[in-house]
Amino acid sequence: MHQPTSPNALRTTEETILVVDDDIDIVELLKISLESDGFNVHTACDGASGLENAWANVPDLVLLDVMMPHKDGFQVLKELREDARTKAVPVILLTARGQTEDKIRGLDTGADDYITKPFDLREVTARVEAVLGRTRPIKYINPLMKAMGDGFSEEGVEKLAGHLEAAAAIQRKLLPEKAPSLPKFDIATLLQSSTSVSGDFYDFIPLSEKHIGIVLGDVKGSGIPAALVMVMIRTALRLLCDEAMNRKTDFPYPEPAAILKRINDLLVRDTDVELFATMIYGVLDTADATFTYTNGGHCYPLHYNHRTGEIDFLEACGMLVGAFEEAAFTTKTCTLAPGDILVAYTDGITEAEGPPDIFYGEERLAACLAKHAAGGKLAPTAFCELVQNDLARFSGSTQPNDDRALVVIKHELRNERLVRYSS
Amino acid sequence: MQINIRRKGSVTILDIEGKIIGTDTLALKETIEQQLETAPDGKLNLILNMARVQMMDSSGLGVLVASYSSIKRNEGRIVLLNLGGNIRSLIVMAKLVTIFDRYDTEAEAIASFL
Repeated sequence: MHQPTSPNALRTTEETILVVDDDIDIVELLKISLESDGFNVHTACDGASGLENAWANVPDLVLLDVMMPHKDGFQVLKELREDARTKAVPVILLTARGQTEDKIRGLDTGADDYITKPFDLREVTARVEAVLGRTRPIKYINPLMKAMGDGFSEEGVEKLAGHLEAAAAIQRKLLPEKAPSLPKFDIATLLQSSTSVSGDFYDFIPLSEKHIGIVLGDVKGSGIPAALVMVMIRTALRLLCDEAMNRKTDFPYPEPAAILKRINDLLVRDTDVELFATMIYGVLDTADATFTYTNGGHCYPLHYNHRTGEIDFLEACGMLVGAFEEAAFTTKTCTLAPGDILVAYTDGITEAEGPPDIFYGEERLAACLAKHAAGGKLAPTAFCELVQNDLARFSGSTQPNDDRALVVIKHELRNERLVRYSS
Repeated sequence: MQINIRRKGSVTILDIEGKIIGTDTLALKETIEQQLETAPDGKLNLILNMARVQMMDSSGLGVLVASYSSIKRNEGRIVLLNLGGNIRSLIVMAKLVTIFDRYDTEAEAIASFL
């Protein structure tokens, strides 16, 4: 494969090249050579099947012979340019030496470059790379331009960028700046977004002097649609809690499962089926040291038991949120003894890819927690950092490909705070 | 990811090979949408054969959920065949075991539509 240099950095997946030539030997030769350069190669031996192939399976580039019986290269090029699917696919013409007129005619018809026969295979690779290097960025910008419709202009792009920035700013403001400080409990959070706006979120909702609502969620999809749904969920959750606390009928606080059910029904009614979320919502009772929670199809939180040194997965108790009317949720309670740690996380962490085909996974996260929590001195902020470093080592990159979020809650050991402050 | 489309009577079978992750999931989504568009009366009886799927992530799960809803809307059905790798646990975690019917043999999966 090619080393990622500047334009190649955009080469994220295997690129396909279509070779169209009536000379079988040349087709084979180019196929072997380009495949060894890491390209996926399709072939056709005449103009008509070349077009058919290009439309059925739009390639990233076409190497097209000019001199072919029936439908020649110019005709094929013309038809490629007239079809919406292949209008923008770069084409390099293969012409016989010295036919200057062919070259001019080819470039006029919309070819991106030409190579004269007989050719050196290294020249083919170099020209293919050069043309792809020029057209790759366009390929990635096109969907954005298409999404903007006919109103595309530089001004429009700037406006869109401005809106994106504003959306990101609104979203950042909705996230708590810092975790709440509570008696006996220490809480830390982490949020790494893969794009300017995030589908992952967390929030803390004060319910009473000793009760605090904690949510960690992940809206599927990404970008603006996911961010909008995240804002809907966060707002609905806050309003539902407020409303229930003001009514004072739900004692001592509204049941998490009932809250999640209402959010589910709201999303099912008001959003597209493709927009849904997974989330954990629970209430931490700082007096009883319990976490009463429900889980909407989210990754199972980890519970580190300080006394035994073991880790339990808090298993699911509900379907993902916002996709199915019939979704039902149940509430469970977990006791957090002094020294215990609860870790809720999003799948951007467990689905971080390291070596090909291997996810970071729940087991690695649990092992990281067990290893460092032993002894009872692990602070939640330190654990967030440890996970970040472990992920960077595992995936070989500090740039996440999906949003990552963590909420870590620790019931402090007696005197831990004193020790921490005096040291 | 590679998708092969087969038909057995009124049932469409997609043999999926590779990984259903990240942006690659779009190919699966598009294929299912196409099948839904061309199905008679929009009613699609679909089997996703996952025998050769090595892994799936939450985007893949998103495609399954979205497809389930759009197929059901037109009174069609989607069932899963040969769940392996991490897919089974993903579906269990999202509590979707009650939503998706799962089969271990193609004959059983096809029979479920009769």
